[in-house]
Amino acid sequence: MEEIAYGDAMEAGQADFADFFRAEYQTLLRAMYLISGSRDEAEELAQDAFVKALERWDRVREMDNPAGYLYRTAVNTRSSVARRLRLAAQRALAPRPPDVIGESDDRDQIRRGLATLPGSQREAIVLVEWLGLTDAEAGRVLGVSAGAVRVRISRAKASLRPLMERSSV
Amino acid sequence: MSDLKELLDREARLVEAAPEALESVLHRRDRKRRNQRIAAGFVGIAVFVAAVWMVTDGGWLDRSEVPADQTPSRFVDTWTSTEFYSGSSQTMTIRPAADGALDITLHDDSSWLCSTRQNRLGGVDTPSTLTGTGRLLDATTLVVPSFQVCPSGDALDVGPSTVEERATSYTLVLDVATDRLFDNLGVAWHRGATPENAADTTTECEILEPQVGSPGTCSMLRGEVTFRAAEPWFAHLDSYIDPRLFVLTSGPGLQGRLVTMDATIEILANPNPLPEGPCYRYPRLPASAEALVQAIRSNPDLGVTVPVAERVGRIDALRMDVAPVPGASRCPNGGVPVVSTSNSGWGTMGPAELGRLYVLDLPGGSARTLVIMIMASEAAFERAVEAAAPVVESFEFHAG
Repeated sequence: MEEIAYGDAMEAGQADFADFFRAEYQTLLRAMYLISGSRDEAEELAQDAFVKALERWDRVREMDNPAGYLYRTAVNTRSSVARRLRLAAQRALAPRPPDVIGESDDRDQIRRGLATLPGSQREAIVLVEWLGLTDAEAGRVLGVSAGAVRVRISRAKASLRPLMERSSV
Repeated sequence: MSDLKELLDREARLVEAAPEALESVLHRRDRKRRNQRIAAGFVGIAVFVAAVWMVTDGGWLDRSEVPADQTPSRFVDTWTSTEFYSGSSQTMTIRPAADGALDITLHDDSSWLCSTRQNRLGGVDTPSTLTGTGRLLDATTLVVPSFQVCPSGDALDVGPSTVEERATSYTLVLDVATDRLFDNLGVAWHRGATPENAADTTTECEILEPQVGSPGTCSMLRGEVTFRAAEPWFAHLDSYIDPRLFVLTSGPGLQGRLVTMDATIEILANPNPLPEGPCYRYPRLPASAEALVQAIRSNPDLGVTVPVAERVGRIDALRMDVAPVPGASRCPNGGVPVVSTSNSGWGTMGPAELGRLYVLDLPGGSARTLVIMIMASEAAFERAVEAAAPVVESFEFHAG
């Protein structure tokens, strides 16, 4: 494969993109993992979001909250129809191994718990409870009101409560 | 009860960024540019060949000459579509099979479906293929219950994935008027090569920031639809994320995204009639403009004027004014739904707002319909319509 010197390939005016990438990529990747439950999908979503940010870097860098653009892009991209088709295919290709009684731990429980939530609740709980956004900030990312975010989180927590109580025993 | 954040944290720490992640992003950007250049070159050749054929041989294809009994065979061909977000091309080949069935092969030129992690991170194109067998439900509807996935051959349910819609198989409907196939994932398929458009290089609106304030040409659907906008309109952030959506607001468009939407223009590709139940749904089979207008007019939550025929960008459109009735049901964002979109939050209007709608069938390209919604408070509505007029008059369609 052809070796490319990316230090040189960064176009003029995009040098600070690398700093932005280093500051935000890991957190975005992990947030998308929590939302999607798939490392591969998380990687795709995070990388796609950064490609879009790079294409519009002159504008994105001037935004009050460039990271907000990333999260909005990644969440929106997740609903792309063709992507959904491919993800369905990917799931069909790599079914999860069945759970074995006695092997589950807290981590398995939270993974299973998240998987049972509707996508909208999962997005809200990851953005607010894990990422630490306010309801209003999460609302801006998700395109809904702060009140709607609160409702989603409340419902998600109610669904997760039995699981959480078990894990605390 | 265990601390939820701590549990989420533990789960999140399972995923680490690959050391080469930044290089991978740059690879992807370069690959995307290369694919766009290749596509542009291919389209140029295709246009030239078509022009030569028309002059020297075939003349224009008269679709009215296709005998009715041959309509099912009009599915048999190679069809292409472009993925909304990545721009990657998908090809679908439909061939006759035994017992009147049709064999379908879906091919994606750069999917990660069959690729290794190393390829994905290295930005290496990995084609993927899905195969299935379908049957005609009627002359214009082809239904495919399932696909076999590369290369393991596992069965795949490709219908919409929400529980209530899961019973639906993958469905393709032939739109005879434009000779396109629409599927129930909202995708348009074109016979032969995807008709790229000349406006694909159009710069987007330079009106993102209020202080910039200069007019610009806005594009959506990858340049298939363009229009001009200037102050007082500013592009909303979502316009730069979803190619099927453009939103202009009369307030500051971006600062913190806490916008003052005194008036808005929403331009929505492929909105659908409202579903029963939740306000938003993932894409379905795109409805025609006529079906959309009928659904809006029969919505008991909306008062709607009689549609008037108009032209938008030299395309026939229907214009009508709408207003929510007192006590109209609302979506979670507080808006009264007018149409359903896959992008939550749009296609609704404030309970005290008035709206002017233009609804039209697109002549070709990746979407079936376009709805332009101008919305403002009653006091500001006439001024908003007046300010929106130059935008509406500037629409151009570059596909079909």
